[in-house]
Amino acid sequence: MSELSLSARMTFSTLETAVAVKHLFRQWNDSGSLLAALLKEFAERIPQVTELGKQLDALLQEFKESDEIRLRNVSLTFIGNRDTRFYYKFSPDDYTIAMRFTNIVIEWVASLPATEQVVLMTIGDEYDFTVYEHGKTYSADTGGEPSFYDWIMAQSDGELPGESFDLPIWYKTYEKDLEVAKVALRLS
Amino acid sequence: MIFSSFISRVSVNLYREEIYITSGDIYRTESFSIHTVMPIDRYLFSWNPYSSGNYSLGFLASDRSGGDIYSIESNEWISSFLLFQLDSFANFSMEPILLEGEYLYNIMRSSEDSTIEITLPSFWGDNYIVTFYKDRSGNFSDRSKRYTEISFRSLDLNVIWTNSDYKSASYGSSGDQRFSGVYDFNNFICIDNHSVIFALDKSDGKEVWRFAPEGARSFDAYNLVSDDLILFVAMKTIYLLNPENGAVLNQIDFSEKYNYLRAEYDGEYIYIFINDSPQILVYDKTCSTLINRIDIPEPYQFMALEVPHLVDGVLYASLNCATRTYNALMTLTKDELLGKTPLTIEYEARPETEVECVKNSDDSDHYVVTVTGDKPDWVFRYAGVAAMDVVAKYGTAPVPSPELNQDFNGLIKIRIGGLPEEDRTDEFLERLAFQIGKSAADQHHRAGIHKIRAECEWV
Repeated sequence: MSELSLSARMTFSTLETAVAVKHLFRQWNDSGSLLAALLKEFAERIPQVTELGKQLDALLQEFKESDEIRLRNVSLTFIGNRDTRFYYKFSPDDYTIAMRFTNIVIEWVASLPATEQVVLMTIGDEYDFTVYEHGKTYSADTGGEPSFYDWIMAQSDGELPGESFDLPIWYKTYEKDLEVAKVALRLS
Repeated sequence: MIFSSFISRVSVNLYREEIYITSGDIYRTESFSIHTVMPIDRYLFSWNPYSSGNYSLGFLASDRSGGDIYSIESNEWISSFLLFQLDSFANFSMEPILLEGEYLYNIMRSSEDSTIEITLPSFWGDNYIVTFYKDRSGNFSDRSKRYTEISFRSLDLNVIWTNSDYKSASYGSSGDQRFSGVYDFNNFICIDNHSVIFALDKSDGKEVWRFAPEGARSFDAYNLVSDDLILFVAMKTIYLLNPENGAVLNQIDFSEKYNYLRAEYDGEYIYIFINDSPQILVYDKTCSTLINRIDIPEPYQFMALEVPHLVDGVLYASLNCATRTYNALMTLTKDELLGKTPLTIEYEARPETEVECVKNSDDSDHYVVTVTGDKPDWVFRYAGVAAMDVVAKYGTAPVPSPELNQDFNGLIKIRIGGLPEEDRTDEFLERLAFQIGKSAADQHHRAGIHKIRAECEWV
């Protein structure tokens, strides 16, 4: 299996929440403070952060052999935003804990009232996508249809990675029919 | 020794004993003034001057690639073309044609509309023309077995003789071939084919002499042919040849192969340029005495594939900079080269420049670069250099900067002050913005998900 790469697009309805999440992630990377102290610092800007704290505490309990340092070694890198669409990359130090951590963080962000959509892209042997939207989750992978992904990447405007994060949405909308998608998206 | 900075690759071009610098634009060296009238949305790709007084200007644009033909004397646009490459001299022009949708070749057309197929730029002597043609039809195996046909023609294009004895240096899978230069002597023409130089009798095309040593360079070879001396530059040896018979007069042997090895000759001295420990070696014309050695200060080194030129007692060399985004033109006087005057290192003065980081409502950052100066071409270049400094320092670069700003949204606002009203043109601003974006893309600089882009305005 090839090395995993995790990245996400988070779409918010308000910039305040989007920026607060960005600052939380940045503090996560930069701060040497303990998990509890960090979450307390953001409690006023994002009241739901206490829920994130509970889940991360549970994760630490589950991984008995782990310590907080291993958890903190997972970095959340902000790579840019367009309006309220914010893009992140997760750099795991330990894949086992990173995947669990990423899922907790993603699901927590998806549960925030100001979150409209989160798309998680996992690149390994193939491209896997998980979409969190309006309390629902669905997945797509490119295992059988690489041409769909290739075509989306070819639409790149030179900045965003071809808006590959739209792949699962288009995949679902156009029922995996690449030709239908091409016609519809070019006309739109 | 003076260093002048440019934002993109610097090329030193010698044409009719005058130096032109290309770096996104074309500059005349006297004042570094912008010479070209290239359309704003095009980025200089290559510049090829020809003996007719015209030059072809390759360009890259957002939607197509191709070139323009301009007059060197008047800087007037003559014609445009798509794809590469078109040459022009006097009454002949070469028009690009796509063969089998893949390979480009040219048709040489005279004013009387007679047509010759050619695959390389031709050479025009006093009373003759040398053309090159290689049949590129068929598959690679077939193509690679064919040699380029050299045709010696009268000015009305009639063939006097042909010669197909020379398999020239080939590049890439297309089997494309190049003869890098044709030189006129009294009774023969000398043709440089990178790894071999040969002379053909003007009357019948028979070989007069050839020189093809072991260890010759291939695609990056630059051999210098002058009236009284040929410098053949191999991997670790420079041979001095007698142009009349191809005999080796002397040679300089180095202990190792150099990735970059170039030579220049001004009739009195031989100058050798080396990149491993970048330096210039100056020899007398027989190469028996080393007269001087000049070390190029860090972090500069000679630009790969480029050749320094010495004109009117000044050496011009294009350099790249290992730790910066910009490139440089180095100028050295002949007295400095020979060690007759002390070598001083000077850097061209820069316009007054301020850089400010501005926070946007979405918590992203952009930068404002304010550049103030009174000469438009100077301000143009250094506004670009200042912008690229911002890009390298705060953007996502091939070599990560410790000061990377993840909130940088790729936008650089450039404010230009100090120029007189008559120099404040929209074209100036648009060209600067275009070139910064293009240079950043060429050097793989970004800002996270964002392309580097510039907005320019007057203050």
